[in-house]
Amino acid sequence: MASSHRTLIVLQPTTFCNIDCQYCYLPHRGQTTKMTLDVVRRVATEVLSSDLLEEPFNFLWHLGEPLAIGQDFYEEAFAEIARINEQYQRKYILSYQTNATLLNEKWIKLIQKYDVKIGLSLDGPAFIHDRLRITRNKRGTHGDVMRGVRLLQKNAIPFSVIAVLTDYTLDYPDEFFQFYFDNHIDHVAYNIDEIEGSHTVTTFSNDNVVQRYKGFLHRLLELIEQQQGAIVVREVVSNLNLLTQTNHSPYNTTNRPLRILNVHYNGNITTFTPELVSASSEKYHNFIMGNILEDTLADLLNNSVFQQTHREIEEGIALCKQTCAYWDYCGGGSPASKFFEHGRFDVAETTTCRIHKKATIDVLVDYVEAKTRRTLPMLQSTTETLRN
Amino acid sequence: MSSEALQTEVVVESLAERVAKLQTTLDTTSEGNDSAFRLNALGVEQNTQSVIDFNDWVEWSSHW
Repeated sequence: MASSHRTLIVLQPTTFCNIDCQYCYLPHRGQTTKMTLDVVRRVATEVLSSDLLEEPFNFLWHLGEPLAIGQDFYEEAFAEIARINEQYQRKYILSYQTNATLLNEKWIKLIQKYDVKIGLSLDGPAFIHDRLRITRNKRGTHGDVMRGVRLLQKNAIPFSVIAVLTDYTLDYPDEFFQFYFDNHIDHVAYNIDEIEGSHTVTTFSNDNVVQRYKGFLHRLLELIEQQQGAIVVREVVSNLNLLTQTNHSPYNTTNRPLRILNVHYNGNITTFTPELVSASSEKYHNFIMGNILEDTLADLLNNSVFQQTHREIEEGIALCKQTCAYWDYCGGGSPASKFFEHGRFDVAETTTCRIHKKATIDVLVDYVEAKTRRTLPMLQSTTETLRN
Repeated sequence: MSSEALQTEVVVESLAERVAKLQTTLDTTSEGNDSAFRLNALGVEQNTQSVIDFNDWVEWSSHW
């Protein structure tokens, strides 16, 4: 099935990160590795010339702190991608996913020059953010991030925010919302601190955490509604779109081959969800499905690691479809969560499913049902509804 | 009044049934009822002026 979404090319310019978030899944964050321009050229040539990938493309620089390696690398890399594309005339955008602490006027100029889309990581107000998003000296980074936010805002550069929720955040929905509202940050996504890569525990495994999460989201919905949707929260909008669309087929790019191509700093490539780059697995050969300096995308599809992973992911998707009432709004879950929680892909439910998908859908359905009953009394049912 | 008459009927609806009912209800509320709840109060159908394609953003940041 064709997707309206861009094909994501995730490039790891470096494994290094200048900060040390306590829930980060990426290993080797202290190593100052760097992608070479040869790798960039090969990726650009292979992607832009390929008929295996769906256009348009999003070249996303991530999987380490992309701003940690300086502007010169990107000046050359972006110019090379543009030069190579002169021959192919494909549509693409450039993106950074950054912690924003290193943003300065030089970065702003580069971002404006190449119209780079910005996603940044910010967990809410300082008393939440600074618990876990810290430097190696254990200093909170909220002040540095907000300095970057102000620079982006001063230069009218739009950005979106990803916040990681821990169970601590669940007690502070008002503070969480108000922070973004007061700071004019109007596109917010949140993830939960998942078991992934080098992050081997989650605060979302406690007994009552589902109910606490539901309470958090319900309150967040009230606050969003009070401000008439002034903040667009990804988990709200994307799921409401799915819930209100009729005749859609679930589609999940993280579990489909070649909707995401991940390129390690050294040219190793993998597909499916980007977290597999952080995986250490003898059984799956660390999910290395080739190297872009030697292999083509067609080679990747014939690679034995790809084929084994693909087969098991498909088995997991089939199990989800067979057993899960939320299938229509998910499309088979995150392969990364399945692997990091269960060590395999041919399984269905994960902690991430229970919270980020199922509990979210439950709260949204409950909330909108209650709202539409209130505003449309003639349709109000006398039957009490129990969730299945 | 007998206790039987007071008893509320309990029906277990599946998620799919609830969602189908919700879709119908929302379609009805969009037909001219100014006081009706609308999903744009929760942020749906906003963001049209942003250069960030929301759907695209959803894809590339949904799990990390």
